[in-house]
Amino acid sequence: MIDFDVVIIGGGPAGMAAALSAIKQDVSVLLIERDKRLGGVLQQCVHNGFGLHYFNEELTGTEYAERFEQSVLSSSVKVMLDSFVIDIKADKTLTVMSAEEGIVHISAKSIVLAMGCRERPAGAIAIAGDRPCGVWTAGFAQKLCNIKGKLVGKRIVILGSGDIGLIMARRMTYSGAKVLMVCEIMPYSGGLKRNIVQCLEDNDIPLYLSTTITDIVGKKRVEGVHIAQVDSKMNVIESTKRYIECDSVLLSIGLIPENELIRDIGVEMSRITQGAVVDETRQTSISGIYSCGNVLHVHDLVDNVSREGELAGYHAALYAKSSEPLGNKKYKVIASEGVRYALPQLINAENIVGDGSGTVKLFFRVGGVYSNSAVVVKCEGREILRRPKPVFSPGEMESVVLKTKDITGDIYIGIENLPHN
Amino acid sequence: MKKEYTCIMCPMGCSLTVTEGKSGIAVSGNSCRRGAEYAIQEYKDPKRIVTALAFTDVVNCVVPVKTDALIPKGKITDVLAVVSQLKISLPISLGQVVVSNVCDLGANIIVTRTLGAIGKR
Ligand SMILES: Cc1cc2nc3c(=O)[nH]c(=O)nc-3n(C[C@H](O)[C@H](O)[C@H](O)COP(=O)(O)OP(=O)(O)OC[C@H]3O[C@@H](n4cnc5c(N)ncnc54)[C@H](O)[C@@H]3O)c2cc1C
Ligand code: SF4
Repeated sequence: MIDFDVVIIGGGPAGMAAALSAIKQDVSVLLIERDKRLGGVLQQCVHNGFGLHYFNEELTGTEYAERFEQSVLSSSVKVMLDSFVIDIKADKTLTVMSAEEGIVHISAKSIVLAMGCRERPAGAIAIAGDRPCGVWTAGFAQKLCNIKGKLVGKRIVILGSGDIGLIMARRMTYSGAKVLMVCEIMPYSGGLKRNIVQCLEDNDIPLYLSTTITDIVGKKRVEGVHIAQVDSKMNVIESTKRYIECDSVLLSIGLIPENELIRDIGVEMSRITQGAVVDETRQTSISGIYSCGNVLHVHDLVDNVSREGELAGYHAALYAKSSEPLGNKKYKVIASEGVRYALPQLINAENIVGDGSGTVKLFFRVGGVYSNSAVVVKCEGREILRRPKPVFSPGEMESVVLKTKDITGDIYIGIENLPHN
Repeated sequence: MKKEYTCIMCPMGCSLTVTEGKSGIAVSGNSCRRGAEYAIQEYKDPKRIVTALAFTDVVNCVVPVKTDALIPKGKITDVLAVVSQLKISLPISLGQVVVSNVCDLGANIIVTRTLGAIGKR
């Protein structure tokens, strides 16, 4: 058994930031990554738009990752690559399968979960027809294209307007394929506005909202798809059905936090985020186990992932040093009208830690498109924050900053329509 | 004259409005300075950073590259054509220039990921 103060699982942006912030607290830190190189999903994100908030400059995903990679490799963080964490126990012992060292057992004082997320596979949606070759998840197509230089097809239909699909629409176009359209079953896009502008509009790729693929045609290889519009109840409108010839379908239908590792050890999970329930230090229901990045909730901004990693790494290090748990009394953060989820779900009552500046930042996502509305936060019947915004959309993670002195009980966060004037 | 844009300088995606009147060009809706600059640029002459993949001397291994300055939107295809002709010898480091002053646009093409001789780190 090898002992470490803090063990971090996953070497993406969340894990690297957690490691760098933990090591500053003079504890021993081990970062375990199953890939041959640090960086996580950013290694295949060759487009730019990363780091404007964190580094105050615009970087590609690969550049952003490499800055953190260099800092980690030149620090005293111990890095284990090509090593897969296969088991965690509630007593904070881990089993790792390492390409070099075989099975290794590790004992930690605190653990940071930073395993990221994976894509919803084709089986997750109901499309009629055979499952011929040529149906890929957008992220897999991205990996093939951006790391190996291979295109999955020449004439492509993309289902789902999540960011990976939009980014891939542009990448496939740049790489010589013809992207015919992006179909989105919802009446709004699931991706960031900027990606609609610079990936679709710049390249004249149409985005059809309230439209889905009803069936895929082709025995061995995709030959085409039928698409149709759906009504407000998601029923296919038969009269709008039409055939589109294509050789590949890319699915960009959402991400799921990769939490299999902790399913069995009793960490309380959120049904909505599919990640752990955490307090403002990103501690889960098992003290000494922390969670951050996409394994906690799906982020669209890597800058926020890095910040969350730093927060979790810092508190994991403090925990390892003192092993003094925070008080047990926690206030709940309750998502009300219009808010799908808010995170953290809990705030420590006795010892509100926040980010050290006397504030707690709440992240939230809305459940639909709300225009001319305000986000309103209440505590014990008092309104403690109100921020109007022209549009709230489910594709974009929002945040509000609360003053810790205002947090004296459970927090309610909701969206209120503003009267039109 | 009034035009609407979505700021693409960062993932916040603020909605920007450019109004041109007698007193000149005004921008509203931006949350930061970069948004205002972007809107004015987009109104006068839209520009982009281009990211692409270049072949290397290792099979099944490409290296990501980008222009180190904004280039006119209309020139993206020309820049991509130049990149598609490249064959980069590994190893190569982040930031290394592989084409200088591409298409006379005043921007270089630089590598955005360090790759070792066999396509790994
Ligand atoms: C296509 C795409 C486009 C994006 N565009 C932008 C953008 O323009 N701007 C922006 O700011 N953000 C963007 N993002 C978001 C950003 O990249 C992610 O939010 C961020 O990478 C998530 O970081 P993470 O560390 O949580 O997860 P990941 O990067 O997924 O890292 C998780 C790591 O954990 C490892 N791991 C998992 N399980 C185990 C295990 N059991 N044992 C060992 N290791 C394990 C994985 O191998 C992986 O390296 C984009 C994301 C994608 C996919
Ligand atoms: S105005 Fe500033 S904050 Fe808003 S999208 Fe543009 S760069 Fe981002």
